[in-house]
Amino acid sequence: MDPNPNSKSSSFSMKRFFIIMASPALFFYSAIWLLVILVFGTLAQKDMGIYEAQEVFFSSWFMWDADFFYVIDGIRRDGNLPFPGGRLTMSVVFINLVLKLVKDFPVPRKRIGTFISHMGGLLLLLGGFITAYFSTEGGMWIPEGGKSGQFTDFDKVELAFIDESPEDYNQVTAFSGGYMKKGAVIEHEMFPGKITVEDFARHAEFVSRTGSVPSDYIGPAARFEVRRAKLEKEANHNRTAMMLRFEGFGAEDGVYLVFKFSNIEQTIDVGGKEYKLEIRQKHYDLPFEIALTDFKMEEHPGTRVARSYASDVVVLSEGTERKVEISMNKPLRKGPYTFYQSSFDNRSPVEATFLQVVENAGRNFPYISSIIMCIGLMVHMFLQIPRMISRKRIEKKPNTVLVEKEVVS
Amino acid sequence: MKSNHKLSRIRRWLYSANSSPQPFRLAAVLFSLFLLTACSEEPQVTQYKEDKPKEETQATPDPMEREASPDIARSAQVQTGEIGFEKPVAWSEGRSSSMRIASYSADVGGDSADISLVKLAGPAGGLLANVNRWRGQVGLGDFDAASLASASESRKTTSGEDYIYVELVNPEGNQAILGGIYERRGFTLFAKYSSTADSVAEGKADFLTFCDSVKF
Repeated sequence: MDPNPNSKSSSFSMKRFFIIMASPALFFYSAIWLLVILVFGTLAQKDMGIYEAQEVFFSSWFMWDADFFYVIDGIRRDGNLPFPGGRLTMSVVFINLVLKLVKDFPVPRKRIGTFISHMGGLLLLLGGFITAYFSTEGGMWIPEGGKSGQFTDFDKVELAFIDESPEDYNQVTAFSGGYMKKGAVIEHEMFPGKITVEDFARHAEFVSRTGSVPSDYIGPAARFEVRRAKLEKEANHNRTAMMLRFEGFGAEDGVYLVFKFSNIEQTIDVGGKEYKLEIRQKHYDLPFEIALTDFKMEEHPGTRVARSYASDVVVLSEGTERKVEISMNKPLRKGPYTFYQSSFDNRSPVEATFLQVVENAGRNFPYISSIIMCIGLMVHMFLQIPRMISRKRIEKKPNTVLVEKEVVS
Repeated sequence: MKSNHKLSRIRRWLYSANSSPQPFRLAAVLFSLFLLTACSEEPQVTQYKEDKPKEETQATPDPMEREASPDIARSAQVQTGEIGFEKPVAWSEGRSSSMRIASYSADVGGDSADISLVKLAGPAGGLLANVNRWRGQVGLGDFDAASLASASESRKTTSGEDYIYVELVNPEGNQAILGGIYERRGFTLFAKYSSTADSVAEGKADFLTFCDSVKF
């Protein structure tokens, strides 16, 4: 007995919701919508740049009608009508596939092939989510004769407090992720007080202040106002800026303006130790080092255009050394990391190589899921063979159609 | 069969019991998982050591110069393929075309300016022909080689590369073009600033900053 008299109607709507969410029609329309997003997102890369187009069309939960119009006429306007973004659509497809499997469970023998293919599709989407949330893409410069065990993110930035007092190195404490937004509060054991992010702009331009300025605005913060600028095509060219309010730092209390590519050195004294403040691309430590022994480049005859270039590197890991050549179509793979030959510097006194680094735990998902989907389709075809044979028999013996149909069913 | 029994129990749990909302619960759990992943990034703190920068990049500007620095973020570093340059902040992205490797627009003195960077293979017709093409665009007659030599300026970029700078102003037609031409082995790079004759002087400083900053 249901104690709640209203539950029947509410559970009916829930059941209906479940049926809609598990319906093949939802998958069909979502797939069409994904195609639309794919076309517009690809065209948008020309004017928006790869990073922003990806953010707006593929990595978004929602996007606006204005984003589509921008692709058509190149004019920026405010959005009025929201549309499901790529991430939301793919989430709906994922849920749809899961619920469809649940609804059809247990799967009849004749549909085991499509079930396997669905599992492959789900795995592909799961891999996509892992890549979207847990992959990192960046780069590392290594001069000839030098080595490096760090790389910097192409997109993400960090607020770095750099202690330059050690003789041989700089000690860096960096804040990133959820700290890089307006209203975030930074509290850390090395600070006597707290730092509040009063303003944050992914890409800023600065205008001279007019009128009175609060007395606790220090240095550039007292002279310039931060305004949000249109994002650059390349995310690492954005001039990220932060207005930081320091409280509990004694004489250092006040509001500071820190921004990327700044030629103004900002320092803060914390308990007698001086820290340099910088906004820069986020740094990652690798669990090994890569040393560049030689950079090689071939040019097209009579031109300065590179025909091919490659780096002879040594991977230094846990006391072992492994010599590897990284060239344009031959990346180095180690653990979850892949190193691609991306660029070079042969104009400086010492040649240097630039390696693109991709850390992606989900990189094998597309291969595995494709294999599973193929197996599923093959199983499906295999299971259809007896049916096809019996159909042929029916066609050959028209008099026995009814009898055969009964047998088949 | 035992396994079949278990499967049917799972099935019952998922969407049986007539009107019970178990399937909805499953959908809700899945949605919650996605919403969780949609939440903003976690704050992260990392500590690491880094090599000290080399001496030449460690030099600290004079404090007075820093305080007075008018160049605070007047431009942003842009890298397009193997060509890099400083883009003045007053410039915004312009309409791109297949010819242009960079395209900007600016609002100068109430007039709009169009800035482009075009890379062409080889000498692209030569310096004189290209300058005369620009002169035609602003309604001026052709130069001869001697006139071009006297009217153009040979400049160096901040990285020491030579280029030719020209100013083509037609006050009568109120049209102007400022140009930077970089002749290199295998290609020629054209930086062009098109505006009105009235406002071109105002945008010249930014354009020269741009031209001087080009790196190959």
